Amino acid sequence: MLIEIFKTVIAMSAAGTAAALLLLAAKPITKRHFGVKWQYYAWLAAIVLMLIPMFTLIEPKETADVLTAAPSAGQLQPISEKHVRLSIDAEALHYVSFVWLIGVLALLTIRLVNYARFAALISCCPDADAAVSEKRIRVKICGSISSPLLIGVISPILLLPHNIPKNNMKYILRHELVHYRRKDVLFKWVTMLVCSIHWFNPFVYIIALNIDEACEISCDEEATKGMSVTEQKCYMNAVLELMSAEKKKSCRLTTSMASGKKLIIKRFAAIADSRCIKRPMRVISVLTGALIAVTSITAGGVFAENADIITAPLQTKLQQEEAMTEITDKEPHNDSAELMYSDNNKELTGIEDIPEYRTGNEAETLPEPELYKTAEGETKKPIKEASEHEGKDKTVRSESKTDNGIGEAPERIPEEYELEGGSTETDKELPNEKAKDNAEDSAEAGRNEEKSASVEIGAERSEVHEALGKPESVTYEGVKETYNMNDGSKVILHYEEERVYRGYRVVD
Amino acid sequence: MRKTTEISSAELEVMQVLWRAGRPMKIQEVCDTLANNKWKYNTVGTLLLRMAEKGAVTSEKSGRTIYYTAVLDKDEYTDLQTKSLISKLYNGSVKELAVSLFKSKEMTKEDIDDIRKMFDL
Repeated sequence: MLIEIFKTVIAMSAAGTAAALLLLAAKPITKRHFGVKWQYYAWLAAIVLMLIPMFTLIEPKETADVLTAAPSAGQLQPISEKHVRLSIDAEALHYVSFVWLIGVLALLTIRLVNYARFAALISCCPDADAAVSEKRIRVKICGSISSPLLIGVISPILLLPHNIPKNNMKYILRHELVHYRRKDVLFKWVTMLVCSIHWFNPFVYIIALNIDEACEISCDEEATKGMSVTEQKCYMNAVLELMSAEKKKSCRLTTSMASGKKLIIKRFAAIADSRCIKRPMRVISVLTGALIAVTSITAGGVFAENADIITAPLQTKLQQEEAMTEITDKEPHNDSAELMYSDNNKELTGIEDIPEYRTGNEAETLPEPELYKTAEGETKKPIKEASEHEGKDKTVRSESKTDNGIGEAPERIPEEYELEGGSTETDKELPNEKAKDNAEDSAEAGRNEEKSASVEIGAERSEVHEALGKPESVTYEGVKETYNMNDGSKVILHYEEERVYRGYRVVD
Repeated sequence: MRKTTEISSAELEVMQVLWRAGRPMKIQEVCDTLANNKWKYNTVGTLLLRMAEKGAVTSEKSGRTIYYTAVLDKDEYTDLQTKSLISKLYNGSVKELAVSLFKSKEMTKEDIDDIRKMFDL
């Protein structure tokens, strides 16, 4: 469940990052032609993208890929490669999503607690006489702040520093009221939320910075709309006077233009800029915004697909294991492979591939029989194909065409059965087993006495050998091992990365 | 006397004793008033000495004993603490949740003059 959420967050992060990159790349052009308001809403849209999983609107092609992979063996390769690579990452993903969640909770807690403390402290500040046209806003005077500020969405409070000259008041109020009417404070909360959720993504901070900047510049622009040049200068002076009132040292750490100065220059330039954006350009700007949005959503969708493929095997395994917990409570049938139980009640899977026992997850398990059917026709799939994957023989565990890997299991179950009566040629080991079938394994029985059936999934090969003794037969670098048990049954275990991945027992 | 006095938490406790008393006190009296014999006579003596240097208290010698009086105003101090806390919280994470007219402490007087020239203000 957590992994699902985490995956979604990652995909949304990808979409937002794509949007950020596009906006940054387009900034030189959009800055000049689209105006600052467009910048503000475009960057806001990027943040919103990271909050709404819109990529889910894109049809996930993942299941289709898996299903259509079966008929043509050539396509199996890419899928199996990902399956292989990812079953290793699956466990890591558990830890990573947990760390992510901790980060989110920690950040949210700190921010909310600080906000609550702040709100409590300023509620003690005295109310101001200043009247504001918006009745919902409470105005207070607070000595600890240097700049007027607006805070709170549900109960907005306008905080003013001491000693604001009367003639500057109306400009300050104009500025803050624009913020209020545009619901800029609400967007700040949204941004904070996204920053908390996507704390790991550096682009989220870049987006936040751009939003902030565009917010202030567009606010000034809006507040001074329609003002005469003289009035504009009064407005600018009001801002500067408030800034001067703030006591500060003359010496500074950086000699170059500080960001504060740069921003003020941008803001004032926007105020003084009397250019108006013409109608056709507005249309283009909206279309461009839509284009960027769609591209980013698609990017997020593509990312999501790959992410899905990446974690699908883990889910299949987990879901199978969970489903098995229910099935194994029933009486085991006599004429099909039995499940093995371990002390911890963790079952080895294997039964899910039998039609009667198929779990509800058709999408994931359905393709398998078809895979085997193709494998059937190509009994001895050359090893070199498998080793193409990673150059190591271990990669044979890919669930595809080789008959020496995991994929082989389901096919073998009915076959094992026939062992008792007839014989099959599908697997080279079958004759072995058939031969040994009648062999007395009392010697081994003695050895294996206490250790009848307690092998867990994930057990290491050495543990298994300790518990069950040396295998009767080994295939392909020990990816599959068959053990004779003291009660005459055989246990077949499939290994993956030196650990038991699945197994089943065949009874006489 | 310093306008903004930074006093440690230990000194604050001594201050509170003086505030509550509202009159000059001997070191021994302060020591006894402090709950549970918290500090030794010498410790309290040293604290009061430091606070006198900072200007939070004044000392008067009457005979052989020194009397200390609180100088730092209680309300003023509480106020300062609150202000400092408000400022700290805001500059911490709260400013991300507020919109302001300008971002504080980022401009020097020279910067402002430059801008005035730039825009003919």
